[in-house]
Amino acid sequence: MAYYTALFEISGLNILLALSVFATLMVGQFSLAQVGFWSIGAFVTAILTTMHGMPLYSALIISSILCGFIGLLLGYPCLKIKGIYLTLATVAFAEVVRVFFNNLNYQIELGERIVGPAGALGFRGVKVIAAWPEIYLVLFVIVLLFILLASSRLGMSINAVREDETAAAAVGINVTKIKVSMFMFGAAIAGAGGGLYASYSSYVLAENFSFHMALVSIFYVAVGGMYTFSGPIVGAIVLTLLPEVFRFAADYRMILYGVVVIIVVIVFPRGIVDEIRYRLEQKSLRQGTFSDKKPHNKNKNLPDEGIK
Amino acid sequence: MLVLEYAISGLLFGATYSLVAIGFTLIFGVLNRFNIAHGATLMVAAFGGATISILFGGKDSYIILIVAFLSATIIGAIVGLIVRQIAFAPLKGGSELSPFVTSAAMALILEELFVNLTQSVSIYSMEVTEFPSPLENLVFFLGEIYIRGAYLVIFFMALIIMGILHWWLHHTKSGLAIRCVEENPTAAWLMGINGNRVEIIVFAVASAIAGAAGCLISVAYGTVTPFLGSNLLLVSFVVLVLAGIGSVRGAMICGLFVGVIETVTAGLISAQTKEAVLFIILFTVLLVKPQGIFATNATERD
Amino acid sequence: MKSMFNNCINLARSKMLGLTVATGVALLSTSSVMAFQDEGTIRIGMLETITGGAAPYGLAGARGTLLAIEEVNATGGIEINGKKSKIVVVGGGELGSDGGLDPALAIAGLKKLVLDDHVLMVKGPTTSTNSEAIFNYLNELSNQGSGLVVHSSSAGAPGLGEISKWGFRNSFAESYALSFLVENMVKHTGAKTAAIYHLTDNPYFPVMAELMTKELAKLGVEVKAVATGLSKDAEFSRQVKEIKSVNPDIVYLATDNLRGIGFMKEAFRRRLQPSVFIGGISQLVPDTINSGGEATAGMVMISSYDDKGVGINAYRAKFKARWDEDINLFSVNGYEAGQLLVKALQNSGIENTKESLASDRAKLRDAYETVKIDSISGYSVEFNDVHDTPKSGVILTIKDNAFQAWEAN
Repeated sequence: MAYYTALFEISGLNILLALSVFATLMVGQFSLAQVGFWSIGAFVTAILTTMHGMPLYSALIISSILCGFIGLLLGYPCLKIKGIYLTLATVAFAEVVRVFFNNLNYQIELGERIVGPAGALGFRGVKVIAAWPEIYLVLFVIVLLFILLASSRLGMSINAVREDETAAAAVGINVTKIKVSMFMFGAAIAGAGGGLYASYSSYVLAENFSFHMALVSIFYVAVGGMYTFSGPIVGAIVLTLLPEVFRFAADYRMILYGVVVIIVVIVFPRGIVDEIRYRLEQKSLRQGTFSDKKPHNKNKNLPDEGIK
Repeated sequence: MLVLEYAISGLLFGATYSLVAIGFTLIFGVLNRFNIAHGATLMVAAFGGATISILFGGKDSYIILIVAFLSATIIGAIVGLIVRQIAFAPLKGGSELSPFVTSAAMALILEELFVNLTQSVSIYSMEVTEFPSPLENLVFFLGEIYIRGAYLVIFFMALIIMGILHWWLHHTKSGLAIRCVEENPTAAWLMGINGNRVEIIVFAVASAIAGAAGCLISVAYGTVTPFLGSNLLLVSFVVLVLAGIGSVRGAMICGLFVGVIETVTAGLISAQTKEAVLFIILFTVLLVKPQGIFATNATERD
Repeated sequence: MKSMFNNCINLARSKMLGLTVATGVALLSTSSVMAFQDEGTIRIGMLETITGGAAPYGLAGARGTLLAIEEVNATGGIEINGKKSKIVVVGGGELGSDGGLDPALAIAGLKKLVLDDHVLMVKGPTTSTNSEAIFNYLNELSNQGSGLVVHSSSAGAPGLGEISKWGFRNSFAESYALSFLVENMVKHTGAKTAAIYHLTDNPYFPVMAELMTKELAKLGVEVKAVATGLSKDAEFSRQVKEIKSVNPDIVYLATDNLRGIGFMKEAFRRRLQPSVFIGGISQLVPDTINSGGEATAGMVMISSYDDKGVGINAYRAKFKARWDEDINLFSVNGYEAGQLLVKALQNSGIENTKESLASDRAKLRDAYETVKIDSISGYSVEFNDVHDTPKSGVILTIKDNAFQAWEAN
């Protein structure tokens, strides 16, 4: 039982990570900076709750806001950077954050113990005050926000920006504002997620929040679905459970994991959720009232992304 | 004096970064996709070279070293082609994300595979798989300045390889085809150039160069680990950005430059600071001149 | 609050439902086949680090213990209430579960072994970091009524034994033997100055560096330079240069295997030649000799056993036959741990039934407090009042491509 609870909790954390990456993907920006924000959120929350006695949710709110703010500072200059270069810039950010926290030495005496981040040793002994109720509560709030976003005007603007920035600007959408806002949103989610992670696992080590983790966060979105927010949720759950399902393979576990990721991405190029949705749409288009017109885009190879 | 020594080491060792970056940029220039498995390819080839050296007693033999080097290059090419076949070929077109993910997954698989191999195969050791070579302890002292023979060899080998590459790209038909595809794939296709074949050639060559680089690096360190590739990949990102994607000459010069910065910072301050410095440089360059210092007339491609 | 809570669950459920059902079925079928404590087997768990950086130590320890277990099983097992029961390692593969390097994961692994797999005790963890987290967690388990013995054969950091009454270690704690080593070395070399190179991202090494500094100070030796590094370094020029510049008589290394070798090679190239290089137990693995070659010749460290001992040689043959590898400090300690475990089981008077699990665990713990064995290393071994097994140690040096007893000549 303890085992399944742990899986449930870790899934929740991974979903948060996936959603934070998804937020920036929604405006067509491929950012790997979320790992850095996760790290910031983790340390800030840990310091606030363990060293200054703040309650969990207050600490999480402060972490998210702080990350959102840093996201703003980061997002603006990054506007000019396009495509793969943007990704590289975000990687650079995450790495600098990692080095920063690996050298952070801020300790105080609590009772008879010394607590706080100790440079390369990380922050051990974080107060454990998060378990699945807290994780899923925060997750629920964020999913709610995504639902509201999807069905709002803002959501449509976001889609427009992703499709074609120039066209969107031409119809009067403030592309800059939207891109930066989503960047901040993603950062805030990661900040909250990191804080929950710290309060769950009791041990924060900057070294863990690395390029490798950033890659895994992308896996969640690519496997689950890149166009609707249910995609990253499904992706995170599947990929969290996958290594457990492969437990019997012991040493070859992660190899199987990689193989599955590749297969899924090849078979479901849009991610599981969105690929299924797309195929169903294709089917209904072909059978439905548009029978005298050609189907929207039968050729899978051409990019086609008109989605709700 | 100290700085000079570090600078020289950095310059020499930076040639390896140049090689890694060149391979990476070739693939990106032609395919417009990042091959995250490039680092892993390098690692596999390095292991190949190390195996040859271990099995045939490479500790004192330059001949075995050369054989190991050539093997590493060939293995690199083969692994590169396999990576292309699995991670890139099935994904023609589609979003930018997919090939990134598949190549990252390939890198993960290769890394795990070798972690397993080092545990189960007895010639490899879990932590310290050696790459024995006669270059191990070769050192020169120029007065107070200490220079490692291995680094000198690296530098000259890298220069030779880059020279060959340059000649090939600019004086042969296949090289010409590659440059055409890089500049404008549609036009190249219209002119009758087989894009697929060019892709294969580029992958093979770029990965072979990666294999060579892997071998050189492991000889310098004296050891190979399954994580060799991923450590190098991040540094090559910096080189790439500085140079501008698509510029082979730029990759070469910036590789040396990064090598110098890295060694001097690590030597004077600490290894961690060097990482921060490099990435801050990367970020600044991206803000100020995103095309890179040596940009060719890069048309915006997406 | 409650309805929001329920909504949250429902929302999550509706998303997870289909997927969870499918994977849940898969998971249930792959989890432990033995549902409960069988009569006829004694269930223990192992939680050594068998992948990642600390794997050489974890694997060696796990294999050593398993060898001891297999030996007693070959005679039929442990006699309980007149019937012989074999010891079985449950949860995971032949060598048990992977403790990994992340304490959070180690605790999760422990939870599974204790609460889901119902083991009698757990052998492990490998690293001091994991042990600290787990021993702390043991106190919580104890409050829940699920306390059980966790026995490590390799965690060496000082003070671990004091954390919980359920935690035991038969590791060779260098801290007990350090003064013996330092006295001999200082006397032998007439050293006046020293320098230290240690890693900073593992709690064990900075602690050892500090202890060493104190011991040296007692004998009037000054540490003139302390160079630091990380576990992922591949380059050591800076550290060697720093140390070389103060021209020390003694150089002490508090690093892991790979870093130690890398440093020694660089030192060799740059002609750093103190009177002696002192290493730690992390250097007591074959790699140091095989990879280090001439660079590590003459290095000195302290180990818990004399390589030429009769018991050790017999063990070496057995270990080689079973695992096709040479022994080292970690596999010797692992076997010793197995010996302690077997003896404690024999003395414990457990019932070994489903219902008696809690009281059996407590009985085993009591047996551990008083158990005493003749270790293969030739010494008599038992736990002291902080659950450690102090050993005076044997000074070794690398000579003729082997670890040999050091002699002052």
